[in-house]
Amino acid sequence: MNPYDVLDIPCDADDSAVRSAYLELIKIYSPEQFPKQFKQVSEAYHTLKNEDQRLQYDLFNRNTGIGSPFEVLLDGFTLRKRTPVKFGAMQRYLRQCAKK
Amino acid sequence: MGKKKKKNRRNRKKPVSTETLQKSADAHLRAGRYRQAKGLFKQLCKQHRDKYLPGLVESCRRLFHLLLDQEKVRDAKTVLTSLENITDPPKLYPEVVRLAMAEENYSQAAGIAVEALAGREPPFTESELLLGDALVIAFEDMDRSIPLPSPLQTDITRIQSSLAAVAQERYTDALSSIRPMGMRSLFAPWKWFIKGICAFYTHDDARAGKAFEKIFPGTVPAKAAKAFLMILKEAGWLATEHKKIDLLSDICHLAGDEKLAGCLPRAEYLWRVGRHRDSYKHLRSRLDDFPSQKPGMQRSLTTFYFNAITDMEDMPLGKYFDFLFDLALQKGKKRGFEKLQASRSLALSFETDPYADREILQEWESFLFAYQQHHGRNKRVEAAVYAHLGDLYSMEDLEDAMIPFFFSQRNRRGTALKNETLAENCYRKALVYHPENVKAHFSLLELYEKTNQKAMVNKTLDDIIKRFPGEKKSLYKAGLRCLERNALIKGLKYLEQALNLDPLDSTLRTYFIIACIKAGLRYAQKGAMEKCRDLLAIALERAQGQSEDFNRGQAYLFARWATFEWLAGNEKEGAKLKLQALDLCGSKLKLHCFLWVMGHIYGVPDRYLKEHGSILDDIYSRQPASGPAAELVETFSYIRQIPSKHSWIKREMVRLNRYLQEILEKGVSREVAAKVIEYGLEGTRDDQGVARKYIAKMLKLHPDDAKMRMFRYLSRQQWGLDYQNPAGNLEELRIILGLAEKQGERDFASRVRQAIRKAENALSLMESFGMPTEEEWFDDDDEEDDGFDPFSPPAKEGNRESQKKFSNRDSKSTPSKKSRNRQLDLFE
Repeated sequence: MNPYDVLDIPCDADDSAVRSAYLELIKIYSPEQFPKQFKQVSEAYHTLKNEDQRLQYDLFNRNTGIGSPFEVLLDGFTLRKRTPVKFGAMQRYLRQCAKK
Repeated sequence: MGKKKKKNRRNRKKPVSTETLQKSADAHLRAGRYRQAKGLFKQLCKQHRDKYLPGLVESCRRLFHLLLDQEKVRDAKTVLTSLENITDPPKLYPEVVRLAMAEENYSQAAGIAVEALAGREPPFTESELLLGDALVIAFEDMDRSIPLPSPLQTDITRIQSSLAAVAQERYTDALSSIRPMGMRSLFAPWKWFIKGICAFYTHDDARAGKAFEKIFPGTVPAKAAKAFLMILKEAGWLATEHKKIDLLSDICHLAGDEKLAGCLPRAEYLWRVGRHRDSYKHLRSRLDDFPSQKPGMQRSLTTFYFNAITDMEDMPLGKYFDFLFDLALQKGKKRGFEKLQASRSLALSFETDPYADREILQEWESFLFAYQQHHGRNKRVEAAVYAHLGDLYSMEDLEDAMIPFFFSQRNRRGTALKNETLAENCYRKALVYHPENVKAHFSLLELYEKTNQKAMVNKTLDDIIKRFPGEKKSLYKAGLRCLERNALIKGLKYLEQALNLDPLDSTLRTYFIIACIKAGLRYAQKGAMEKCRDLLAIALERAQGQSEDFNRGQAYLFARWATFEWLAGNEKEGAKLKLQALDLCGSKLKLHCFLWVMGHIYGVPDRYLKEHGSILDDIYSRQPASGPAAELVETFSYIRQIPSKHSWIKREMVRLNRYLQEILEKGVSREVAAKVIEYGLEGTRDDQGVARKYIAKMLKLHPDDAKMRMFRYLSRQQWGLDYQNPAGNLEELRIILGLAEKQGERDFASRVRQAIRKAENALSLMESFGMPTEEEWFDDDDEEDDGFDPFSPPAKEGNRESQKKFSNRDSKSTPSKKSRNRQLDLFE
């Protein structure tokens, strides 16, 4: 997953923004409770922690580790905060399921 | 043919018995061919209505549900009409409700559900659960005049408020709302569904999965849970389900991305069927902000599409490459970002081509040009690109590394690199654009080190130290270079500066102490004892008290100091220091041996060393024992690293080898044997002979000892016995791994795994380069080796190196090994 997306920061974020996003996320994803997510957050932070690292990532990152566009979306579910759909949207979704 | 047709016609005319008809009707029903079953049951009903009517009703009912599953509402409605003619309306409530929901007529569905459920109590049937679903789904549109039984009313309200709480991320409230509902309730599937989504949104995937799986299949919550369950699964399911556009779009909805729901499923399908370009174009045409670098899914998708080329196989790669090439060439500022990304991808994809040095440079320069057009000139970016290219060109030439050394192009200047000249040019350009780039400075230094250009190494080091006086690494490297050139005092100065920056760095400390010892020896030889003492006192400050390290241990530093005093003729001072050394050391024998050998090497007169020599003689004259053998092996492992012209050292080695062989006959422990083997494998041919004998003996006693088998493997590698059989080597390593795991040697097993990975890489590299087969290498009829061949060729340097590396890692069984490896050569 794109480390910027893991930390949920813009591409022009500075060192302090990267660090505060990292600290915020490791508060949520403790290593004991969410080892996979914690690892992802830590790796993302180490990839982007300073300007040189960010430049290196922006220019030379190559491995997606992802096989198709939809996997990008599924991959996002692992870490990205899962925001529930709104009540109305959920009702619509359930009605759609009822139609099937 | 004609005959057959006649026969068939005759058959058709034959009346079919009721029994046969019934059998085939049942068979169609079981096989899910409901339309055929319905037809046959219809025929049967004509003969015996009461008997076959249930069959007809069942086949119609199933056909109805099948048609609705296929979203053929009109056809389903026709089937329901015919069903209404043959069965009582109350029995068809679930079907009527389902049809009403399919037609989005929720109030009608709810009305019928209420009527059907009047007076019903748990347990509920499968079709009644569907009525419950209708009440939940239709709750908003329900005609309030219809009286809903109070328990049902309460449960539906709970479900609705719970769903509302989930939408507001109040998961605890959501769960507490549904808690009073029983598991036998009409709405139990909804309870599991809400539990599942609460767990899902709080990232408790295991619990979510369990809850979703408990939902009764066929119900609305079960259908709704399917998309959640797919998200929780590994992405592998997409390989088979990528055509289910509805499912994929449901997932997009759940991800909260309505825009993507309309285009990502199609893009996925196109990608999966190999239409990569169309997949990209589809997203670009449907999404306003794609490609994009703004946070969110679009950015992730952009990264994916532009990085995918680096993972692609040959066939799609060509087409996708052409597509990216077109993107990179397009004009107009609007597509600047896309152009830039495509240009970057192309450059990266060229990097995998081993013969495209110039093209890689050209592609990256095109990228820099595109960057300049889009963002304006950025020297840091230019420096980073050139430094990256420098790293790329200064990589070891893998193809050359795979060729045996006698055929290779490697010259005396060191390792063969991908492109030395381009590497140097690129690093230099990187430093022009960004002179403060420490990494590029060090990379250039490393390039000169790799190519053995000593003058350039020194020049670059001086430059780095001037530019970055607070850089530990440069001071340390400069210190080492000075030590190599015998500029000891200058070296000491650099190392001390580096140590001041990081006093806890143990390697730095070791080199600093070595520099002190070297300089101290030189002063002692000149008779300048005051300076010598000052230096050794400084070294002692940085030394380790109880360490058995021959360089950093205080005992051995005192011992060296004693020899320096004797060298200057200060007998008493030397004796005093020797006593101090003996007080501090852990093993007296090691210290005596060390004093005797080092004293002789330093040129100390014999009279000072006699006592130590006789202690050694005494040990050798006694019955051989494992304890002293292990200590002597440790000491000589260090001494052996000293390049000395003294022939008596060789004689000492021979004496030790004889002693080790005598012990072997008596029997040694596995631990001592491992020490001796490691010592032997790193040594001369005679030492290796001793090691082989130890390995053979230990394997005779324990044929499945993983570690001993590994030693045997290394020994065979060292002698080049298995060079022509990489597949066999891999097999042997896998057996060793299995044994190590069985014997519970975890650390050792992980090291074997590393060796396996290396062997696999070597094998695949050999295959990819089309290296000659075993027969092509050696077309003689060598016999198979059962054990060790004493007439085999001598050890190769490379093999010895790999063996060394391996044995260095095994610190558990050889506690002294680690420290020994830190003991650096003072006499180079």
